[in-house]
Amino acid sequence: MAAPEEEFFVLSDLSPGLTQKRVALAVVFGLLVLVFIAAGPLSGVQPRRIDAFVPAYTTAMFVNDSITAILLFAQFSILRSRAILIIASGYVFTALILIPWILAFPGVFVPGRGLIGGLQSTSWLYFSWHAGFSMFVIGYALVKGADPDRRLWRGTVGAAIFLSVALTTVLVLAAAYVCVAFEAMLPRVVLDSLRLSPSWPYVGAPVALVSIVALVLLWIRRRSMLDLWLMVVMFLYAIEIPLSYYPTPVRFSIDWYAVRIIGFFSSSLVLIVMLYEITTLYGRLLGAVRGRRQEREARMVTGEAVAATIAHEVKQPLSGMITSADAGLRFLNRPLPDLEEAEAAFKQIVAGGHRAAAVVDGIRTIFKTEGRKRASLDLNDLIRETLALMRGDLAKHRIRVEALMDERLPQVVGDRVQLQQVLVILMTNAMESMIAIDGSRVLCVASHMDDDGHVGVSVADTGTGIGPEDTDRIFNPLFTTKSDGMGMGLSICRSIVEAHDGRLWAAPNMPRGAIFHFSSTRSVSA
Amino acid sequence: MIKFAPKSSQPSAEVEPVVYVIDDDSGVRDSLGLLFRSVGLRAELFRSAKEFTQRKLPPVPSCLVLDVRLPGLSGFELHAELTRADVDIPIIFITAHGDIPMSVRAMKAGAVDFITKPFRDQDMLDAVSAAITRDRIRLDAERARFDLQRLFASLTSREQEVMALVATGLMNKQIAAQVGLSEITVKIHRGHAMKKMQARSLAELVKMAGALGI
Repeated sequence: MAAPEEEFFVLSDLSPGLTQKRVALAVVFGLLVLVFIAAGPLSGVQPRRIDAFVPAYTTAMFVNDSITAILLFAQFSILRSRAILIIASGYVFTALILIPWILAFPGVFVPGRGLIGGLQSTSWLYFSWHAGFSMFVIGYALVKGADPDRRLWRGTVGAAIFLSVALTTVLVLAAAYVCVAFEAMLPRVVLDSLRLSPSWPYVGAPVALVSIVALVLLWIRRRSMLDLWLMVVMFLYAIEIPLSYYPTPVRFSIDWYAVRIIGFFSSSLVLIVMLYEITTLYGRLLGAVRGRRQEREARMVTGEAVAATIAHEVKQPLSGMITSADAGLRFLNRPLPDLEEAEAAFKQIVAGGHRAAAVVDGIRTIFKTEGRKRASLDLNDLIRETLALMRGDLAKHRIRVEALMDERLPQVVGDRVQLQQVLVILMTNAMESMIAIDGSRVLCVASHMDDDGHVGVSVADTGTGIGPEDTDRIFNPLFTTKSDGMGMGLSICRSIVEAHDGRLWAAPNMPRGAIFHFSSTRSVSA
Repeated sequence: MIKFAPKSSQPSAEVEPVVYVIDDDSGVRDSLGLLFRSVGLRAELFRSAKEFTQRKLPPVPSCLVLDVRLPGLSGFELHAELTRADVDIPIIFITAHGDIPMSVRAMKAGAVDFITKPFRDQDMLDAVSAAITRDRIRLDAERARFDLQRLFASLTSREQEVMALVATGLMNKQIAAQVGLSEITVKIHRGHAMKKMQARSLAELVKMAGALGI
């Protein structure tokens, strides 16, 4: 089976939108109007016989059908669907059968008669063409609904295409041979090079019926955009036949021209729609590529910010140590060394060294990902574990803990230590903001699953809350409201959550305090 | 009648300068205190901008060593606030997060220096010394202007009027005609004005008038 997202990107598997359906209806109605005008008010008009019309029309049709066939073969090579192979062969068939048709058309190459065959050949080739293509459509409709094992081509793509083209060519040659060599034996459907005979409808009606059968089959099994547009084509095929005979069964009459125009339309429809779809899909692809690049750049910016934060945090104690050492040297280098002050300087240096080590340790805990793999884990367990970890601190500050766990929570895939780091930072922040003020101190940690199947965790406190002017800044690296804060806790949290395809945001808690939510889209059902 | 006794203002050269340090990092703060003490500079340490703004600043040459990132009011925000309040104290920004845009921003806002941590002690001391010199000059100028204003206020309105006219370059006779006094009276007023303004020459009096903007 082809990958689902690949299927999504091809016409034959794209389901038509409402707009597509409306456009299809508009095309049908537009052409019907044309038919009524040609068969009604304009039926008395006798246009000039333009001999160049037939070769021009045939050439355009041939090019259209060939390109459509090529595009469909290209789709087949991606999807390997037998149905697509059949409909592509159908377009090869319509393209090829145009060749004997124009050769047999009276007055195109030789005045008064066809280059090959007799008077009847042209019309019989026309019938073969219409009945033949409709048969291909029926084949397409039947095969595409078949069971999955039979739907796909297992052999090589090249061989399949070659075989289809070869078989179709043989079919066209056979039809042409019958129409040309046995012309005399075929029922007479034309009177002369211009007028159709009264028996024409007796052959035309069954041919139109084949198209109608194809239309019905497509209707029953309609699913994709290609189905929709083939239905339009079959509809046009079906109205072409009666329009050729009524009201004037004469070539180069106004309705004969109308039939040719309808034929041209039906031959171009699938091509136009495919080209339109290819452009749309290309645009979508470009958008996706651009989006991915922006995402990568955003991640790089975050990386830079984190690197800058680390540099800042390490430089801070280093700076203190260097300055203390400088000051100590100055006290010692005095004419009368001040040993007491020098000692104070040395103590400063020692304290600075310890603080630097603590900073480095903190950074390592946050970024220690090497050799660790993501595994599926239970967020509820993680919350319980983290609460146990912080129980001492929470109790010391008389903070009441409420844990509202959704026990139906599915497992999520993630880095246990990193996610715990997020919980620790959020709970520590909550705790510190509650210590800062008097009043009830309640830390509420909840897990839940939303309607989209995303797993979420919220950490709510009754602390100082977030000022409206800070809402946008709290996740920025280096921003802090604490006197001894690094200003990197929340920015690290956000990086971790985003690395888990999730989101981290803050909201005010009622009546006071703040709630931090994070959600992960990556979950696996337990 | 209250006798106006001008309080002789102390020349700033004799006053001990102060360096104010604001940094939330205790290591950096304390080490800067040590460094300034080691060269005999008086330093006052603050952990936040708020703590500093609650301190009343004495009129002594001083400068501010200010960390850019501070809890609450940031270094830049404090600078803006000081500018708004018309407190003209030289500021040396320090940061462990320095980049070019940040330093450009600081210098444009009127900082005297921008130093990234960790720094060489001599760089910091040079910057502080330059800032204090600058502040001393500013303070002296301010004080001189203040003294002049006080002296000028001690003149009678007639003396002030005569002094202003003298400064425009008019002769005694012309002044006399303009204010409707005798030339001799004008001379007396001028003499009093020069004495009260402690001007040793007519040229000095004219210069004083210029400095006072009259």
